[in-house]
Amino acid sequence: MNNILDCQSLTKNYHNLQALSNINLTLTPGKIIGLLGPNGSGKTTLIKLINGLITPSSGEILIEGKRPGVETKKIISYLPERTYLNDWMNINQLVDYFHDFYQDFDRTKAYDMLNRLNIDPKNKLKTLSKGTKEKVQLILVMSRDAHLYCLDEPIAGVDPAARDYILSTIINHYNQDATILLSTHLISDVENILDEVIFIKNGQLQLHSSVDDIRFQQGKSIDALFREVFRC
Amino acid sequence: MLGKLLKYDMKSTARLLIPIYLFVLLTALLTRFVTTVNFFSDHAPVVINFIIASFVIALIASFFITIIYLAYYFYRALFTDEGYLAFTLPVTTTEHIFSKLINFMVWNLINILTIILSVVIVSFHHEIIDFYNQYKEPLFTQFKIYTGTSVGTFIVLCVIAMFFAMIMSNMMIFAAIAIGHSMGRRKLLNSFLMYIVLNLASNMITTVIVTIFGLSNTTESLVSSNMNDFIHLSFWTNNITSILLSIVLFFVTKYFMTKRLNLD
Repeated sequence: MNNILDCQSLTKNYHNLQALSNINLTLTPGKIIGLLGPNGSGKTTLIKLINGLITPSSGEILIEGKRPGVETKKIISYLPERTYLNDWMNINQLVDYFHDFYQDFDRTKAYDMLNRLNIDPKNKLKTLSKGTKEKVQLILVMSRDAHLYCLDEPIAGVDPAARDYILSTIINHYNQDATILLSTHLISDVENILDEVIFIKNGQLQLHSSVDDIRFQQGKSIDALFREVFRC
Repeated sequence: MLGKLLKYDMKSTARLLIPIYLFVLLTALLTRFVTTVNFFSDHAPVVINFIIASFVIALIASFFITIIYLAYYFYRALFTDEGYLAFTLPVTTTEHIFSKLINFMVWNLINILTIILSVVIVSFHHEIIDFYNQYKEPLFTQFKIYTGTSVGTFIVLCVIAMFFAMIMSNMMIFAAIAIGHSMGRRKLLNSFLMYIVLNLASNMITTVIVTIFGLSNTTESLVSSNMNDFIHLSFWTNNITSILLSIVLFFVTKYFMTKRLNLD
């Protein structure tokens, strides 16, 4: 069984900044993994590298043994931290769009989730509130039967009730063999659903451990450990 | 996948462009109407002036809007937030570029046809047909005598040259945007500057190549058979230069969209 993600000495530099430094990381499939770190720590850079949106300065990154490209994009479902959908389309058209490009997209699942949230698919995206747009994006992303879901700050911009809904959607609608990589700084909200955590600070890997190990061996909650590791 | 990309590109850009071209045709029909019906010339000549002015403005605007909007569309669809969607689709960068290029070319063609059609609507008169039928033979014959090429061949050569020149000019816009975007801050300004640089560079290269090929002809006087050769040589030199530059610009664009991609 291939590792879902392999990073070997992965480094990414921008003009005058080292965003990621010598990351060595292996993720096995079938887990919900929290990618945790303060703002600017390199979480989004790592997620962009996984999705082939940027290329490494040095080192290697492999998804199921392959370099980021068309084949890996078929099996990764990505939710960025911004609205990336065509504003002028209505939700029906967006569902058609995802269905057209992704073979693993399940329209029935998407309409089912939209229905449960009372979102009218005839609405154009630009008429929706920010929170509803984010829910629509999440629904589209989670309606794919992907091997790896990369969710970048999925709950940052929404109210606590919506957060609960989003997290339960994530849990309830993914294939148990798939991996979810969830990047956030709202630890206490997501702690209970995580199997593993990765701590990133200043572009460097601080910790990669199962949640159980941290709780039992260190006797701390992830939130408490986070505050300790990332104390200002 | 290329077909699907193109479908969505055309749907998205049609929303602005179709209404504009319909408006151009509408002003053409109105112009024809007010210049034909005597009522206006007798009682309201101001209306005629206004309608004609609208028509001319619509024609010019449609040309510029097409180019500027499609350049902007390339930028918006690939280098802003929408780029996060575009570049995570299971589609190659080559397919992205080709889709945007074909989209650009199709709308350019529709724009040209709209302009031609609207000019015909406004100015067509049976006297033109009579004139053409009367003078066609001597005109075409004279043309052939002086240039050694038939009018039909010349028109076909012009269309082919325009086609390749259009590809090159579109690829130049794409390359300028892709390079400008990769330069950190002031992306828009950098894109404009890169466009000017690329334009100058391609003009220089084209001039050099065409001069080299042209110099081999200057020793002979330009009688009709030589003129024919000269025309074909010029056209094909320009075409090949356009094609080669387009290929270079394609690879430059692709490089900056893969290795140097940096979405904010």
